[in-house]
Formats: sequence, structure tokens, C-alpha cells
Amino acid sequence: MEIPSWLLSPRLWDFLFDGVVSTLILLTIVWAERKIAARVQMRVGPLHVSPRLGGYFQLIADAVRFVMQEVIITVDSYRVLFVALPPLFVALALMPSFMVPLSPYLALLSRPSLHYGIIMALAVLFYLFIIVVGMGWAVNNRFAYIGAAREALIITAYEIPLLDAFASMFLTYRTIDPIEIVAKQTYIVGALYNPLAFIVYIIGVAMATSRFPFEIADYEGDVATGPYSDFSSIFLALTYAGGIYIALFSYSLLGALVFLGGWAPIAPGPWPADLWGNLAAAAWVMIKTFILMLFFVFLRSVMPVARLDHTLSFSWRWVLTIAVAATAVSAAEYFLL
Amino acid sequence: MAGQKVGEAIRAVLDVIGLGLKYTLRPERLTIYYPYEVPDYMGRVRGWIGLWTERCTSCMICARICPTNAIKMYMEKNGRRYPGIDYGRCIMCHYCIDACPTYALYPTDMRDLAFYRHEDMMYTPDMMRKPPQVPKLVPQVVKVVHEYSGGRVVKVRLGELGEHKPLPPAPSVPVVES
Repeated sequence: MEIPSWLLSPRLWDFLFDGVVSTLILLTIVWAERKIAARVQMRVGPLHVSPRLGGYFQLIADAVRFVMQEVIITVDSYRVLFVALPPLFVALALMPSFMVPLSPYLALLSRPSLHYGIIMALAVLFYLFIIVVGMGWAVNNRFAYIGAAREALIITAYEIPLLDAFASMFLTYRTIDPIEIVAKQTYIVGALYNPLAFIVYIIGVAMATSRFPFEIADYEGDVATGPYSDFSSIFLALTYAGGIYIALFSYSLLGALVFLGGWAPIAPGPWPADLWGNLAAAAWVMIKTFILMLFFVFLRSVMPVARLDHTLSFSWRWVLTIAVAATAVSAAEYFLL
Repeated sequence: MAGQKVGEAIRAVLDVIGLGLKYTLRPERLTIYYPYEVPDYMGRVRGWIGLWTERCTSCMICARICPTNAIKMYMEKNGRRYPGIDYGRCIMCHYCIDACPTYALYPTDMRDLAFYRHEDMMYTPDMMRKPPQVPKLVPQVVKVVHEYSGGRVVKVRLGELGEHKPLPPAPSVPVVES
């Protein structure tokens, strides 16, 4: 039987693969976060919903609960943005993962625009903070205001070092094209090319997605989940309980491509002929992404929470210094390699 | 970060990540899965309080020593008063058992008491002769204890939980004719 050509379209497969695998990774990572925190704190964590799977279906139960809950829109909120911003948050958080290729031939974008994929992804990801500040304004209570103000200050802490880390790697690779970037990491991954940039990337992403120890804008102990404090039901699932993890997924995907070598040891052939090779390459990228995300959620179980002023001074005094040093290292590699 | 050596901060971060990894890979979990496992107190626990009315002299010392006023003296058909315990108030201190001059009150190690209604907590003297039947929630209930072995606290299974037995009665004293 002849397979219709649209069924073998790389765009369709990229879309499906990214969507399905990101959902699976999202569920697994939330479960893993709870189980790791439970192990470190000598607890068991989610168990009784599915004891043989270690409580994995607890996430399904939570998702069903989030969807079935009553949607509450508070009287004082600005209704339009209150309803519109959570879906926009998820859209902007997930969009960057569609802008980068999962294998040399498996990409949603085609060549001229794919060349700028990582740049576009970063640009979209940095817009997330505007959504968060807008949510803080739309929710309209004091915790949301404080959280939104904190988020607006935190962006000044992570934006420049994170951009600098990626720019350093572009300088090292002498290209911004994601496929060529991965091709240059066949033997040595980017984290070994420039470890300083990788450290800056780790710290910057922890700040950008409010992982510990930088969970400042939405820390329950201080500001009652900050900008998301009046969200319930599906809105909470789209933002605080799910959307942030999708943003973490997008950041980690970029990190897996730029710092961990993407699909590096696997070099699949052209798309329709070497279908399984391309899918294996995409799966390998996703495994690296998952490991990065696992590290970020692991931080929750061991880290304290830094104060806002400590974070800002730490960022401008140390992280920016390391980022400049990383750029110097990359410049040296640019001229030497 | 402020006022801290950079080396110390980096070492602290690496230390805590190592510690977290150690516990993630080799957890020391002490959780007792309650309906399936129950802690074994080896009898050294204060629980439900029973009463042998034929030994009771109706002296009311138990009712007076009770710190929460949980004991009420009920008038029985033979014209004497016997204690009944309100388990909504009882804190299982067992002062009444210690104070009883004729060992009419006896201790047990039954702690798993649950009641549907508040009235069920009011035990009258005739209800206190035999311990209440605690149904098993799951078919197999295992006794566990926490033990210290090899530098870690581990949970040890001691085998299946048997039936609750009341402790053997105290040394015999003259039974008061009622």
C-alpha cells in the first residue's frame, strides 16, 4: 500500500513528536519532582493512586481534578486578561520547542527561518515575563502585585547573562544555525567547549522558570504563588502547575541542542528514507532534555530560597562576571579553533 | 552570598547536591503504610481501658483523678456506680488504672480506635468488659518496627498482625461481692 505523502511530512511528524513527547515529559517531570523531594525528605510521595507504578497516575488524577474544578474569576480581576493570559502563557512557553529541529530533517520550520530558530525561541521565551507581569496585574490582589513586581525585577537578573551564554556558544560555533551547531558537537559537547557558559545557562534558566533556589516571584512562603495566586482549576494547570514546566521544557530543549550536543552521536539520513533514524535522533534529544529538566526539578528538594536582593546582587556581581568570562573563553576559541 | 567566601559557597552548593543525590538514589524512608502496616509497640503503649465490674468498689478515685473528666460514674441496676469512659475526652494517660486500688481497670495496647458518631465514644460500664473489635481494613496487616542498623534507620517487618489480646489480669485481690 502506498503511504500518502502528507502522512510522511516531516512537519507533521515533528509537530506530533514534540507535542506528545512534551506532554509525557511534563507528566513524568512533575511526578519525578514530587518523588525526588519525597525521597530527600524521607517520605514516600504519591503512591496510592497506582502503587505498582509508584503513584504515576496521581498526575492524571490531578489533571482531571484541575479540568473538572469550577472556574472562579474573582470580582476585582480584569476579566479579559485573567482569561486570556493563561492560554497565551502556555502558547508562548510551548512555541519555542517547535522552532528548533529535533533531527537534521525533522523540523517544523524550513531552511531560511530554521536558521534563526534558536534566536526566535529565545526571543519568544523572554516574552513570558510580560505575560506573568500582566497576570499579576489582571489578578489584582496584593500578592499578585508583589509577585509581578518581583518577576519584573528578576528578568533584569537573568536576561543578560542567559543571552550572553547563548551568544558565547554562537561565537564558539561560529554559527547560529541549530543543525550546524549540533554538527559541530559530534565529538565534544558544548558544555565542555565552554563550561562557564553552561553554568550561566543553568543559573539563568533556574531564574527564568523560577526553579529553586530562585523561586522568588511565586514562592508560596512569601507571596502565596504570586501572580498566580487567584488562579484555580484549568488556569492554575495552564500556568503555575503546568505552564512553567512547559517553559522549562523549552529552555531545556534549547540547552540540549546548544550545550549537550542535541542528537550528536546519531547522524540520521534524509527524512522519508531513514525514518527510524530520524525518530531515534529526536528521541535522543528528548532524553537529554529530560535529564536537564530532571536536574532543574531536583534542585527543589535540596535548595533554600534566595532573597530577591540577594538574587539581584548575585546575578549582577557574579553571574554577569561569569558570563563575560564565558564570552572571553568563546572569543579565544573563536580565534584558536 | 554576602559576607561568604566564594569557595565556601561553591562547596556548599556541591555538598548539598551530593547529599540530595545520595538520598535520591538510596532513600531512608520511614513511612509506615498504615492500613497495610502497623507499628509494633511491643505492648508498651497506653490504649483502650477495660473494666471488670466485679472487682470495682465504686470508690470513684478513677473519676476524680481523670485529668480530662472523661470518666463518668454510671448507676447500674444493682445500685452501685461503675466508671464509663468518654473516649472523646480520654487522653489515654492511664492515671485511672494506676489509681485503681483493686485493679478493676485494665490496660490494653489498642490505639486504633475510630468512631462514626460522638455517641459511640461514650463507653458505659457494660461495654468496657471486652475490648472492641477492630476490623482489619485490608486482608493482610504487617507489624513493623524501626531499627538502627548499619548507620541507617530501617523499617523491619515482623510478620503478620495477630488478634488483639487483653493483657493478663493483675494479681488477684478479693473480689467485692456485688
